[in-house]
Amino acid sequence: METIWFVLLVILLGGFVVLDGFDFGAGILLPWISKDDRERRTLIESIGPVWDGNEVWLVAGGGLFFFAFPKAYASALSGFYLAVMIFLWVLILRGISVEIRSQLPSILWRNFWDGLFFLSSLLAAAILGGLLGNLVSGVPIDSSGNFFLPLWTYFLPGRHHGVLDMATLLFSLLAIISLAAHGASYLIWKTDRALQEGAKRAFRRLFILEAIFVLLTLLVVVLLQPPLLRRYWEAPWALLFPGLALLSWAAKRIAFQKGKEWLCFVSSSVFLLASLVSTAFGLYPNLLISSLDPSSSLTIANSGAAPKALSAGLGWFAVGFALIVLYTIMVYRSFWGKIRGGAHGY
Amino acid sequence: MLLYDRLQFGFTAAFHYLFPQLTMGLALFLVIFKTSSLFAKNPLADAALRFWSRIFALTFVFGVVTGIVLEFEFGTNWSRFSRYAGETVGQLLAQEGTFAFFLESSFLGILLFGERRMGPKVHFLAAWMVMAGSWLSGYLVIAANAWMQHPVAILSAREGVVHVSSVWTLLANSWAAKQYLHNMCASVLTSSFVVSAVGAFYLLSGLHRDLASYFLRYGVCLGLVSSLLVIVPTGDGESKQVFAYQPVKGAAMEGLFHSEKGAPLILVGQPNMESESLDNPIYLPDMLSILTYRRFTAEVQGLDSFPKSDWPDNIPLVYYAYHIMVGLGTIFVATMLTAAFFLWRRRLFQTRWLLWAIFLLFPFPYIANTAGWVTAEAGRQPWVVYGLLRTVDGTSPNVHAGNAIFTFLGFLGLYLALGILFLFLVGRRVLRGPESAAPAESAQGE
Repeated sequence: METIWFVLLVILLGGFVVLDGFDFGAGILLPWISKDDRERRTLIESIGPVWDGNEVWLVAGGGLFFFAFPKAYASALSGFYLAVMIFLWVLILRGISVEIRSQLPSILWRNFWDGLFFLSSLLAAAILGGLLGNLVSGVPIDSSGNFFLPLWTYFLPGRHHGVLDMATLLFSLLAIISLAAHGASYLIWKTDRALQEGAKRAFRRLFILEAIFVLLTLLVVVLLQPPLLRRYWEAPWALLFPGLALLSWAAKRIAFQKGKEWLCFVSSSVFLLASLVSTAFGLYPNLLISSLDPSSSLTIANSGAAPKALSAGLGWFAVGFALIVLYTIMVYRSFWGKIRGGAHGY
Repeated sequence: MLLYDRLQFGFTAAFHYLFPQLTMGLALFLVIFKTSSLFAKNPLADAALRFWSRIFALTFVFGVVTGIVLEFEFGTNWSRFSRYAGETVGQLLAQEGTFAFFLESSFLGILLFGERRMGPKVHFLAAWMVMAGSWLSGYLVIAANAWMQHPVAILSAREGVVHVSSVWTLLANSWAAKQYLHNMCASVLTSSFVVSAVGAFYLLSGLHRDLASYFLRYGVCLGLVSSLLVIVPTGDGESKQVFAYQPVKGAAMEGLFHSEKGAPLILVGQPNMESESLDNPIYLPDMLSILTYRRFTAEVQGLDSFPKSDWPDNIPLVYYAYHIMVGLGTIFVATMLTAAFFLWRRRLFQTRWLLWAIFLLFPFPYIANTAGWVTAEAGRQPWVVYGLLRTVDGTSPNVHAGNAIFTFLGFLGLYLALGILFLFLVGRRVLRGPESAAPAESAQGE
């Protein structure tokens, strides 16, 4: 039963990374690929109707985490206190920037919010990556089930590390690069002319860089947390997930070459999802690995809600998830096609 | 430590709720405008819909971004409470995300951007769905709060974790139903005052006369209904359930230090915590007994009937918040009754003093709503889950004061900036008026 909820949690957070990921990526790319206010406006409009729905995946995932694994939820959020709070601040600034940048004609006003949108998208991606790095490298959970990490100490992994150290910063960079690449594939699909050309340039540059960083982080994982790979030794069928990631990484390049924009975006999404699932499979059944003592790790078994509540919860969530899928398809269908500057009234 | 956790949660929650209390009520107005525009082909309704849906969108975004914070603050600052209440509060918040937020955000996109693409019928449906989503999210949050006020369905509460019989019992909590109705009436009241105030402002300035009268007609009608319902039966029911299940909160609200037969209803007075009495009281004798138990001589329990360790830790705050809410509620009824009478006599749009009053009153429903929530939450102290878990036992033991003060100050600064920004943008929209509809706005973007 706990396993089902673990999978559901991965699906919701995966949905968040794939969907909100492309608008994070669009924000990261904004200063690099757009030349004038019109292009920036088009870029923002391409995510305008969907970004806040994308962020609901985070809200729903957070709620599900709170319900299904309350002990891990409590421990993770209090332990990463400052990183979580700054992430929330950054999300506030991002949301506000997207919505109000076009409300005033003043170019200074727009430059300011575009700049803030870029910075907050960058920082949000970096924090997400850093947190993922911590999930992989482990956190100092003691026997009471608590830990507390400062933002940083001296940037070296070890007993007194912070949220950010050299290893987790690598994850931050990886997150920035791969979300930017994902954002590029979205913009290639949703825009045209000069903006699309810019996105294509970014896509080409980021493609190899992304591969290099994936390999680098894999290397770090091998050094820091070998048990993660042992899971695959025990269950070789699961190599399907990294295999799928590799395949979709190649597929997005081929789709890009052939000008199949939609397929390129889908492959990019599958790539992110498969990489995330591969990581989650390596972590399973742990939610938070203790770097002090493996027996203090928070697993799905020792931090879950009562089995009875979890199985009853499955009933309402099945209905809810069907609705979520339905709404998501509906929204993306109704805003299908290329965005051209000023096409929608708002 | 506890102090900063409470200050931060209280501040971020109160600030967040400034936005949803407008959007939930405004969603009802949007549905009415859209229905009237679709079926009665009223061009004013169409203009009203366009005008208010932009303000709705802006308010909605501020509500969303400040709301995400709250969901994660349970874990960051209240980890022991989160472990305790995952099955209850956690489950209801998970349901809110799953059922309400997706519904609301998906259809809001269509309501704002999709009229031309999707046609008027889908647009009509979108207005209804946005309202359904926002009112549903209101219910689920209130059900979570209601469980903290009146914990039901408990099977066991051992080792810092509570287990409940089923989520349906949590949803059917009788406390939630009463609190929800009271809260939603108050939300419609806020939006009615805001819609009326914009109408009054335009009329006083001699601008957009037709649309302004249209705003006022709907604002005053819904304002009258909601200002009455917020007192009877919903407010009355809410206070009865407080006296039934949380009598010590009731005593603090009313400023009743001593148990009395034929207890007075205090109108004005300052609680003196040293002498445990009320300074400068003005009161209606026996009224509290009548209101609570419908008998002149019924005994109402005062604070002295309860051990001091169970008293709310800030009785004057609970008392003032409650009296501010009730006092303002009375003023709202008086204003809306007068306005409705003048509207009926067809004199409202020429009566400048009344328009001034309606215009100037719009901030006060916000104050009343906030005061109501302060009464409910500060009055629940010293418990976070009433009678079961004390607030002091709900905090995160691993988060130290230095970090909590840092983030609290951060929120103060960030939210001050957000508040100014919001007022500026809404003020600008109102000043520019309804003419500057979609085409003008995008033309300016080029």
